[in-house]
Amino acid sequence: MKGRNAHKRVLRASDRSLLLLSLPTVLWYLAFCYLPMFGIVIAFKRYRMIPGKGFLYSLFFGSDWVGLENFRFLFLNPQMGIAVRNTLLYNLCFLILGTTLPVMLAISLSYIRSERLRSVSQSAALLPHFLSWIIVSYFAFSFLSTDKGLFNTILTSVGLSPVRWYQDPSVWPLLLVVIHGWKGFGYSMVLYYSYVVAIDPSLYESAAIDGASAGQMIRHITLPQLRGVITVLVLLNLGHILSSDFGLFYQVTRDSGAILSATETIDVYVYKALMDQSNYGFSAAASLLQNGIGCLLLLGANRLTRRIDPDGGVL
Amino acid sequence: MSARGIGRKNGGWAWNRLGRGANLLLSALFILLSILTVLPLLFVFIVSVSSEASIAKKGYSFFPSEWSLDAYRYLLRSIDYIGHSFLLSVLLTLAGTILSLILISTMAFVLSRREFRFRKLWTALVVIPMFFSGGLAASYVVNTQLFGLKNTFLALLLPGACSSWYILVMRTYFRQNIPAEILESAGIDGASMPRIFLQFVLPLSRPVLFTIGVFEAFSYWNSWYYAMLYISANHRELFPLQFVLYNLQKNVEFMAANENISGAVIVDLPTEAFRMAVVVLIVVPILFCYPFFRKAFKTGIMAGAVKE
Amino acid sequence: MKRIICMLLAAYMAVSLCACASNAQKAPEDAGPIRLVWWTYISTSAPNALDEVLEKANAISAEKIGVTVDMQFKNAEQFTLDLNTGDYYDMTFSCDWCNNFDNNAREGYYYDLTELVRSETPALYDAVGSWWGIGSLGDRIYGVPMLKDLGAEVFFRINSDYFEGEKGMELPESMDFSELEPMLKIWKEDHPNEYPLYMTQSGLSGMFQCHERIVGSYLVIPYSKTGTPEGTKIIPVWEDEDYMNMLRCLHRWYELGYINPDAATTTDMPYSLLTPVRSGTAWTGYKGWSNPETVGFNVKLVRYIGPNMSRSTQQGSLIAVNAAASEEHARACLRYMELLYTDREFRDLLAYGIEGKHFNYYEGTVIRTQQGSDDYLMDNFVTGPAVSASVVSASEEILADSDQWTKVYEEYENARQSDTRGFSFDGSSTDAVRAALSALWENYRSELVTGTVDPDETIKEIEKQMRATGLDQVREEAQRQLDDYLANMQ
Repeated sequence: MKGRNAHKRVLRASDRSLLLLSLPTVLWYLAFCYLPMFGIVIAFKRYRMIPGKGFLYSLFFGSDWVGLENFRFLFLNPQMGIAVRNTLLYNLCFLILGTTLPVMLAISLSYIRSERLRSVSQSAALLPHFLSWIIVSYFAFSFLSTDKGLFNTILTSVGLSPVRWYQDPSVWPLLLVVIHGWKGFGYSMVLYYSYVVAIDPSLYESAAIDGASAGQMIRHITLPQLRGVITVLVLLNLGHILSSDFGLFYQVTRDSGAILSATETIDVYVYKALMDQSNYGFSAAASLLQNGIGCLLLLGANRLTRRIDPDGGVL
Repeated sequence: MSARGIGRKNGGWAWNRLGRGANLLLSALFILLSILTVLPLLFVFIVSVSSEASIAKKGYSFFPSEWSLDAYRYLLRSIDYIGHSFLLSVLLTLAGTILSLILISTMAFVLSRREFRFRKLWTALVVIPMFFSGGLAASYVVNTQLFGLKNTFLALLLPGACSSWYILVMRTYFRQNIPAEILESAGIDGASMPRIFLQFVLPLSRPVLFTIGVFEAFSYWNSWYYAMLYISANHRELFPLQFVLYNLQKNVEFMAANENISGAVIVDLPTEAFRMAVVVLIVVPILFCYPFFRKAFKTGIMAGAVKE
Repeated sequence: MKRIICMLLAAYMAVSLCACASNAQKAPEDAGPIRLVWWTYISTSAPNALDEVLEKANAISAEKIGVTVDMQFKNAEQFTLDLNTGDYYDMTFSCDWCNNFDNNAREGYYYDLTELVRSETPALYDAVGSWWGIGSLGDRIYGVPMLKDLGAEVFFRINSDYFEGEKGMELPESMDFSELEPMLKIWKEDHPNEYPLYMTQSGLSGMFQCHERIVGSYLVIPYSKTGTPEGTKIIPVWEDEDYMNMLRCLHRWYELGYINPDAATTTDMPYSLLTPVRSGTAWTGYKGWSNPETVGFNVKLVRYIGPNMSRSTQQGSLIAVNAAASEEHARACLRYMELLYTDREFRDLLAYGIEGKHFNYYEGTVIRTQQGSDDYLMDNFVTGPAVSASVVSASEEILADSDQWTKVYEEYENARQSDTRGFSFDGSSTDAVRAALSALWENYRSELVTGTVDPDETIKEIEKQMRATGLDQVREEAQRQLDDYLANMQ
């Protein structure tokens, strides 16, 4: 910033043309992200609509300031406790399994001889990533439907009594992990795989000359080479530890009331508070908190990443 | 796993040296996994061509007692509605992908120029919305009351057009994969920034453009949320296909939950096979496009995570 | 850098203010008919022929009262958002389960119509007659009830071809729940492999209407107690003897094989349409389920519950006027509603579409054409009062009584009217406990309401768990609110 005064008023030509180039995107950000930011104020208000005055007037002049009341309510509400617990546990589980399994699979895949099989496996693995949650919820339903679903047909055919999947909270932690894995692990696997095959082959060759076994190579060459990307991805996910995939937890579970104790996450809770009870202040407070913590975590993660790898980091 | 010394070169990896048994075992595992990922698709397809009687008797099954194309006939009969939604979804996907690639790549390029005077400010501009937003109500007010987007095609197109995350990914790609010398020499030759961008940067960035384009295309193809919020029931000519599916689902739930609304009109519920047929209709284009992008995707996917 | 940030902030404020101003007032209208924005409800999409019908309706209303409407159908999400973000409307659909009338009126969102309705539209005032309480808070009127059936009446819809035609039985107009048993028995004897009372996991539709639900579906006040001191006492659902007796019947029938064994888990609706006995809420004389082409046989409705009335059964449909509407527009809204109440042909147009295309008149009733069923089929209470529309016959053979509403309303004079006098429970302080209680109740509900389990044994278990979860705490809170409410009313 020193010496800035000297050419303060003079924008270089390149600056000007870069400004011009970025103009559409900047406008988009202002219009769709920054303009609505005033909504954050709702978190500190008890929102009440004043008929005929519009949203802004109602918000700024018609609604009372309540300070941190909305946040206090958030912490007092036991339901929220369950939602936070679920969010954290599921994310932790997704994080651990979502790292170890795909990495293992990626390494295994690289050992397969058939080029065609490697290619087909990748294609198949990527596919679920591109399906929407609505579609996935239909898939899930065709297996889990109490009266017609494949699982219950199988259960009854072997003489077991059918399970009411959408009413039984105890089966959902497993189901959600499986469904999440089905949709997401393939993508991670392909991602890690592309790193595995990018490792310099000469490393392996010299190890092979030294008589290293496949297991030793994985331990001493492959995994250390992958460490960078794994760390970065794990840290990034930490930044989203309080967010959850709305489609997975709301649509795939069909918002079934009986299983809420196992499926309700912060996002679902906030959405329902907004839609069913029109509780704007409360849901704004919840998402502010959620995003604030996520932001801090990511900044921390970013710093850590940089310490590990000075060139890394997202920001 | 037994090492057998340096085996014959296999697919380019000289270090790939697994015993026959281990290879077979792993191959079997991956064949199984691949089947598992496509199985639900196949299942839903089979349900969509099962007869109602078979569904009533056997439930959803891989081996229905009777086949029937009724669901697709029904689909054809409502071609006005479903077909229109299909075309709308295609149009939305094309327009959305192009628009978001323009917004993302220009910004990413600008951010990748270290000499840009407002680089820090612009980066902050992009990063802050990753964490803070005004919330649903405020966005809704701005979009409907200020921009007048309610019941317009733009409501489906604009609000989701840009992604901070992809901007950062692409910026990183530009920095690492576009040789600085090319840009410098172009700059000395007097090429303007927009020209450098168009002539040198974009052609060198096909993999990342392609990958992000594919992601954006799918997010448009799969989107229904904006339709639920911004398109009122009067304007079903603006319903994308995914929203039609969402509505079918909701209709059935609504009927089941509100049987108690007195004197409720009995309407023909869409049959289960029909709903599954709509699922197939949504998935089939994805499958068709799959081979086209799969290959280019191989190179692009790393760009999505390189030094993120 | 700082300067830029300042400039951006300033620009932001400016645009925000514009947003504020742009929404403040609508431009005054020039001469010509007043155009009203009318919000109404539909779960998914509006009927195909809406524009065509509306064009016709607007031409008529413009000529008669100088008003046209812009009818906007919304789903539940859009209702919430549009209402709370202050989007403009002139009149809106409001009821007990969507765009909640009592809440919104209490918040002051709706126009106080008390004086205006008398002075501007006396015919409308007379048409609603003694039912203005439905749309009032205290003695102020905030909404015009769109009169339809007001009390819950629950019917068995019975295959009359079989029971009357083949078996020579006579189906009465109303009967006791347990009296169904002989019919089920006969049918089962003839069809040993089928289940006469096929039901899905939600049980027999409408069966709960023997009590008023206060909290969830587990804290109730039985209608049988109205007029007694217990008429305002909130009890757990298992203390409602009428209800328990029905559950006991169901369990016996289940054991006897009259109910499908997988009832507690199945969701298969289409098949249950074809069963000889089905249950549903409607009103005396309703013919909407009677078309033999839909179900394959002639049916008769036999009432077994009701009519029972409470504020929630009465508030099935209202139209309220935006508190922010100008007086001119409020008057126009009232005139429009008056037209809906007093001009039968106009009302039929909105309810059933265009005569000759979507429906035909026959003996003073309406018969839908195929095109009408395809392109203009919706619940008629979202477009106005049901009572002022012609009644629907299923076909020329199955005629509805064109004067059925008079009879229905005559019967309401004998209806049991809840003593809670329009009370609605405010659950905000007990959210968490109620969620837990609902989840508990849901765990057992399907088995109970389908007769799969012995209600007396199961209830013991449920009661134990629900009490441990805090049932009494919620009940006491609800009772306290109800007592306060009733005390305030006096």
